[in-house]
Amino acid sequence: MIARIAVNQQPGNVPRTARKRSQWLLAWDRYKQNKVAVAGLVWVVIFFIFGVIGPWVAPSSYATTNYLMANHPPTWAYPMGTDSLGHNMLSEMLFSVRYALEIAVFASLAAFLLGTILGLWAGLKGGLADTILMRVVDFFFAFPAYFLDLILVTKFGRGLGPMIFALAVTGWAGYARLIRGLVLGMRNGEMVEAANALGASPLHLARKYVFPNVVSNMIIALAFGIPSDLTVQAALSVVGMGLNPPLPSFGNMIAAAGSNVLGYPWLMYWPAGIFAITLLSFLFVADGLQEALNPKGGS
Amino acid sequence: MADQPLLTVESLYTRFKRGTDTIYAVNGVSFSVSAGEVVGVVGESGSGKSVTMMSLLGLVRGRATVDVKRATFKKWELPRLTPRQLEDIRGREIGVIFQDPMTSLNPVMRVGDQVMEAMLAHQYATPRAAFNRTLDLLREVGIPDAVQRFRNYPHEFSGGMRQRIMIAMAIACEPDLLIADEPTTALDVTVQMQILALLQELRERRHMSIVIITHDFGVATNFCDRILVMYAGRIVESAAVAEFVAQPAHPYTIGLRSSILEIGSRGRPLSPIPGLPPTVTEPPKNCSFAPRCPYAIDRCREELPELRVLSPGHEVACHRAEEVISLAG
Amino acid sequence: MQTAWYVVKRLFTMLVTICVIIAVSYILMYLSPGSFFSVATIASAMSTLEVENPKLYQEYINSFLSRYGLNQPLWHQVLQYVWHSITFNFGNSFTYPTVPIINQLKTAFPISAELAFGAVVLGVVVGIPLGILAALYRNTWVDSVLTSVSMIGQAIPAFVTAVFMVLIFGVYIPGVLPINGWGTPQQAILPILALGLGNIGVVTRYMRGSLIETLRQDYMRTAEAKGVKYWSRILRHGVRNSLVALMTVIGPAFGFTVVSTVWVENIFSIPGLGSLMATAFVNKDVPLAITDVFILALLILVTNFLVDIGYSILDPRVHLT
Repeated sequence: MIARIAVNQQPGNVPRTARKRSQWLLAWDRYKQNKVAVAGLVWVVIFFIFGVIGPWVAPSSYATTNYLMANHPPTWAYPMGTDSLGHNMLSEMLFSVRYALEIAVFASLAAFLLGTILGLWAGLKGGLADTILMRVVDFFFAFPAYFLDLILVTKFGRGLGPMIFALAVTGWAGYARLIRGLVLGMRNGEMVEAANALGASPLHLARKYVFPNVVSNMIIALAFGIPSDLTVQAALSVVGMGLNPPLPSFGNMIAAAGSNVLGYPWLMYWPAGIFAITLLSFLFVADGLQEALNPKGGS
Repeated sequence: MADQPLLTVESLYTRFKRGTDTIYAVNGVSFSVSAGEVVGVVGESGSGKSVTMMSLLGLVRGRATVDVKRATFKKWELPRLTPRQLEDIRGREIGVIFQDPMTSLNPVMRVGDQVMEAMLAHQYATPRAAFNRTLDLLREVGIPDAVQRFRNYPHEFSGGMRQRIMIAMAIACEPDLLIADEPTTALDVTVQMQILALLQELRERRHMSIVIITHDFGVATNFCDRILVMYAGRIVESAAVAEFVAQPAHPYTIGLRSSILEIGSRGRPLSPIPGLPPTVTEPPKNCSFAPRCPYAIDRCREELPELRVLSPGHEVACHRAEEVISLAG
Repeated sequence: MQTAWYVVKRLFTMLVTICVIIAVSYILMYLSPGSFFSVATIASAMSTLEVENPKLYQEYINSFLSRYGLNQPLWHQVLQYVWHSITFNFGNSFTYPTVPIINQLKTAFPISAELAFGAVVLGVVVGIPLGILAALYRNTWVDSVLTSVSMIGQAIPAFVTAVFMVLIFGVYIPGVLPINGWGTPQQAILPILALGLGNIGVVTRYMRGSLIETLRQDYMRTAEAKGVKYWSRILRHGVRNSLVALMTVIGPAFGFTVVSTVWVENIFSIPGLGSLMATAFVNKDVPLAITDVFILALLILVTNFLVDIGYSILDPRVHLT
């Protein structure tokens, strides 16, 4: 006695590549709608440009000192003033942008690659490999990254290389857990299983089935990861463990300014202001990407 | 059966704004429900059957505009009520149950509290009395161990039991009208029958009117006194059940009826009526069913058929109703 | 009973986790060439004592040497160190060789705990109402303002906020609020605010998102159909359910608050665990550094544990296993 009435049918399949390309275009259209995200992107692009050309356009080397001009407020020759050693703060700033990006981008990329490979491997392989890897990931989640970074830079030093290493070591676990979860929760999970049973290589599986499904989520994760690395790297300076002086960094400038704020406030508002705007812009971009690439889900 | 009408609705229109489009969900619906009567509103998803009832109660979601010439329920003129006054009627005078009892119950609230809340919201009973009455209601809808079950959460019940709780909640304040929006769709077939039997029983005991919204023609013919068939936001046919089964007059209804007959012949795919129901993005100017209708003539594509009396108690909106009966019969 | 068993299991996991954290920290620090244990560091910190009371001085040196069992194999040292730590027998630090670490913790820990607790409470008490407001007035100017402000709070780390506060209350409007030290209630305002702004931002955003999602649920319509009044609906059904969703995401944010106290203490010169941590790392004072990391990591683990318990209380569907 039960009758069901025919419901709408799905529209026919669109060719795969065409769908994919229009998917990215649609995402870009959605992104463009979000004015804050566009503003953030503009600042991030400017920041990257200065990161690349900064050392060449800087009026002097970061190490150049002029004791006669120490602690001088901003002037035409020193637009951001000078610090207690007579460093030109504009140069310090331009070099800081370079180093901040160098560390954050390379550390994030390294963590991203390591995490992706291990997470993919664990998710596709399963079994003991998966269990062990996830225990290790759990450990990294339980050990606050900042503290582990402190220990790592204490051990390996505070140059550019060790900094990148430390941040990458503490950063990979998040990506690994994310991609493993995505692989396990994939809609065509059975397809992967079947291909696995037929003896397809993991690389082939990853390229053919996994990446198309997870790539947008991974981009979003990376977009959140870079500003987080910028933050941690600067925060190391707060307890005196930041990039080794005389290498300039936002963290060093902000931490050093703290003790001099009453006399020389320009040492504080320039670095802290630009740093704050940069972090905010990165978050706007990450957030905009999340909305554009993942319009249904997300918080 | 035709006592004093409990609910009379005249010319109800509901439209939604979706992006730049306007969806014309309900386009001039008029009907009435008598005291103690069970009315079935039948149609495919998107035919506006649910929106019609929710519009009257102020429960439509999204950017909706409701226009109605008259909607009288007991002594109230529904369109003239403020949201607050309508709030007092919902749950107190008109009970509602929904399709999916899993998502329609609050997952983090004890079911007993949810039933009690219906009474407390209307100061229908003191907390003490409401508590005792909740236990009675749970027993009445067939939940064993009411005292223990009062304290359970929705996820601790089966689908059928959850729908029983929804029903207890809806009838807590003894409403005169119960609106059941696809009450059995989400349930197993055997449970569907139990729930319908329960509704039947409650209706007889309480002399309550029920409007049951369903896409299931079988449920409607078994359970209702009278059936309204909706298509593309309009009522296309309205008749007592017996009349309906004996002599459907609208081609769409005939299609629906044959779809039930076909289910007896197992193994054959179910394709009752060719084509898809339209999404109405402009006010209808002709018969919306014409593109799928085997009897359609030019007039159907040019002129909107009004609902007209075919025989006493039987109304239809089809230019060719008489011919259709003879052709299909 | 089930819950009790869960708590026991969780506490055991926490104990194992913390042991591994201590062991890894120790091994990493130990392997730092020449930096782990140098008599010279300790000696310089006790140079006065060396002159005044050479015998006592030698006793201290010997106690350090025997405590860390440096002539023992590494695994033995690690186990011994872990055992010392989890029994709260921390010994003395290198920078203050005559003071037991536990005494330093006794003054520093309450300060950091107060800061973190204050910031979490501030985040919840302000963030939840703001999130509700933003959700109820979504896509209006109220929502835009609240969302933008909460994004700022979320994006800018506490040490940058703290620096701006020092700038404002130290340079532009001096004398309104103290910008350093600890002890008076006024001195707590700026640090807690600096820490709390981030929490407010995070809580507001999550609360907004989760309430908007909840308001779409079928049971909200059921409540409306029952005739439940607007605010009852919002609070008893909407907010109650969104808090469940909020609980699932808020743990890491509160853990991050504990980390942020380290930064804020250093900016505002507050003698808490964070200031100790700076001293410890800059001086390569390994025992103090690891102990400090251990205590703060423990605080974070406990926070997450409490959040999970709270989650299971809020959501009857969750069975702790």
